[in-house]
Order: sequence, then structure tokens, then C-alpha cells
Amino acid sequence: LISIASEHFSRSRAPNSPLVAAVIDALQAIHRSPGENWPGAFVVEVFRFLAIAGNEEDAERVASCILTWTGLEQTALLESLAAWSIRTPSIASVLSEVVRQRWIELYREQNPQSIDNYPGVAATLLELVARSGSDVVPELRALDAHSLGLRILYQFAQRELAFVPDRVVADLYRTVFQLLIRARQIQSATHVLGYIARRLPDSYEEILRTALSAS
Amino acid sequence: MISNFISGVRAELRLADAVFQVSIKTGNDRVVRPFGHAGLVAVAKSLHGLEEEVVVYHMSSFVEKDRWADGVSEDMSASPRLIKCCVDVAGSLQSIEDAQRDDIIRTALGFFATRPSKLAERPHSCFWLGPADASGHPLHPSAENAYAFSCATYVHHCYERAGKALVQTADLPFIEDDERRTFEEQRLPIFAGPFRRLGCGHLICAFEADPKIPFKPESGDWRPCKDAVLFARLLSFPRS
Repeated sequence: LISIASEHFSRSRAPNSPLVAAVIDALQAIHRSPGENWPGAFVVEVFRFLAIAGNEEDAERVASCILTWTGLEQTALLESLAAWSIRTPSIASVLSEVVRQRWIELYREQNPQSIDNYPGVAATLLELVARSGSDVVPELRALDAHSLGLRILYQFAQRELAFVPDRVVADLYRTVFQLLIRARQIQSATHVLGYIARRLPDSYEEILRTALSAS
Repeated sequence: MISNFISGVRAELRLADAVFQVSIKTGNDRVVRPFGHAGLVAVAKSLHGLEEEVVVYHMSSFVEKDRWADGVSEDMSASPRLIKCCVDVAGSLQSIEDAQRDDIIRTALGFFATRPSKLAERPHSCFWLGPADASGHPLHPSAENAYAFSCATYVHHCYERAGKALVQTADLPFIEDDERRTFEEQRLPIFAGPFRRLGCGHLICAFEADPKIPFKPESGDWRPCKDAVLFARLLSFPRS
């Protein structure tokens, strides 16, 4: 099945929900079997195919995987979902509930350092929450109390945030800039200034002024 | 700053620090490895000593996350795989910020699992000695999700994307005939024409020169950073 699917996913850009369904079921079975080698590279290939050719039916099918497939390839899987959501915005709302659930799990993780690319994974989940049309402000505020809050916010601030309202983006940039200055991460703070200048040129001076006065 | 574990020091390894194997254990001694191997620390360690295990992202045939440990029986079925490889030198930038370390890891992981499918016409390896390419492989121009790196150019690319270019690559010396011969003997895929080869030695020199990066020797002479020369110097440190 993997070799048939590999061939299809790598050659065809046509939707193929029955094949996706069979593959997801097979992968779930492998995942439940202790001792089976997890075909991580192939799983990423499946998700990249979905980002190009998946539909809402496929999204429902992969939704449950987000909560259980949390290995090394999580970065690539979530970024494929983000790309899929850009191509088909309705996917984000189909995935919304599980993405939020995964976010809560990740937020409560006792040992975040044990997860590969924790800040990047958390930022991609925030992106998916925001793309679903949900208000992402409560999640951003909750990061005040998180040991890796600044690192997550910085990764999130580097995303293409066209789907987030300007006032939220302005607050995000202001907070990240302030926190980076306080943490003396000046090169990264300078990087954020570039984002502010591009996204919110009219607010640039005001954000800079308020952030610096608060720092 | 570099930590030379061969000299007996123990030191912290931080996320995204560069790690190197420059020597090979032979009995109770160590000899210079002909060409080094490089990677990025995937899991920080408060104290590392020679021959101890480190989890590393690195470019072999593809970008992998492996455990490097010396004197072990390799276990490719383990997850992460256990590789017979030794972190005997590490490089850490003093001028780097935590946010930039995350950027390095994000770039490093971006290549993970992007190996093309197992179909016969797809590349069996994305390893490449030649100009680095993050979006394709010169020997497999039609392959999707391919990339072309050596271990050293992979590390350099990840740092460069985070705004911390380590070496002035445009100033590097061109590959020499003896180097090319050695690579060809090992059947490693290599660019046929002249190219400016980035080796582990150049990266280590950059970490030694930190914060003066991107590194370029003030004298203009790159020979002290050549792998064989630099590795021999690192091995000659008094050992405790």
C-alpha cells in the first residue's frame, strides 16, 4: 500500500480520497502496533500530498492523527496542514477543534524541552488556530506564564499573519519586541522591527515608542 | 568558542550548537579523521564529555536525527538511530540569541523527512559536495523535495538562515586535487567543476573566531583551517 500510495502521491496531483482513507487507516494500525517501524518520511509525504490535493473529507480523516502522531515529523506535518489551510481555508475550521486540543496538550507539557522544535510546533498550532477564524488572543496571553513564551511568540511573529487582525498583530509585535529587548536579544528584536515595517508601516513609530517606553 | 573534548574538558552543549567528529579512536589513542563530520545539537546537555552520547541533526544521505556515540554497536532500527560517531569538538557562538537557536532548529528540521519517495528513479541520497542547494539536487533535477548538502554546508545553511553566517563562503579556497581524489575514491557525489569547498575545519575556525563572523582569515591564508591541519592541531592539545 505504501509503495502504491508513494507512487500516486509523488506523481499525481489529483484528489484521491479512497486512497488517502486506506493509507490513514493503515498508518493508524502501524501506530497502534508496538515494535512496528514508524514510516515517518512517508507520513510527511502523505501530508504534503494533502496540502496540494486534499479535500474536507480528507481533513476529517486526518484530524484525529494530529493528537496521536506527535513524533519528530510533527513540524513537517503541521506545516503541511498550515499550507493546506492556506489553499483551502475551510480546512482550518474542520481541524479547529483537534488543533486547539493539541495546543492545550502541548501548552501543559511538563517537559517542553523534550519535544523537537517545541517553539516552532507551538507557533504552527497557533497559526492553525488563527486560520480557523478563532480569536487567538487568549492563547497569546496565556504565553505570559509559559517558560518558553517568548520563544513561541517570536516563532509565531515570523509567520505570514495576513489572517490575524491588525490590532492583534500590532499587540503581538509590541509584546515580542519588548520581551526581546528585556531579554537583550537585540538581533532578534531588530528582525521584528522589519516585520512591523512591512506589515504595519503606519503604526511603526507608535509600536516602537510604546514598546521602548515600557521596556 | 570551541570545546575540545579530546583534551579532556567537559562542557555544556546547547540547542543548535555545532558538533564535530574530527578524530577516530584506535585502541587507546585517537588519530585524525580524514574528513570531519558535522551536525547540530538536537537535545541540549548540561555536561558532555568525549565518547558520551549526543542527539544530533546531521546530513548523511539525508538529513537525520541520530544519536552519536563512540564505541557502540550501531542500531539503525532504534529511534533515533544509534550511530557510531563521536562528538569530540563542539562550537558555540557567544553572540547567538535563544530566538536564533530556535530559528536554526526550525530550518534544520525543515529538511527532515523531505526525502523523496522510495521509487527507483528518485535519488538514493541527497548528499552533495559542491555548492549547497536547499531546493533541489543537481544530479536529480526533476526530484521534488530534494536538497543538496554536505554535512558542513547543511550546518552552515541552517546558521545562515538564522542570520548567523559562519564563514565568508565566497572567499573560501577552491577544492584541491588531492581532496577531490579522496572524495572520488569514496564514491561521494561531487561537483565536477571547481568549487569553493566548505569543510568542517572552516566551521571550527569560525567558532574560534566568534564574534568575528562571518569568518575569513585576516591573513587571507585558509591553510590553518584545512581539515587535516586543524584536526591535527586539535588532537595535539595536552590531554588531562
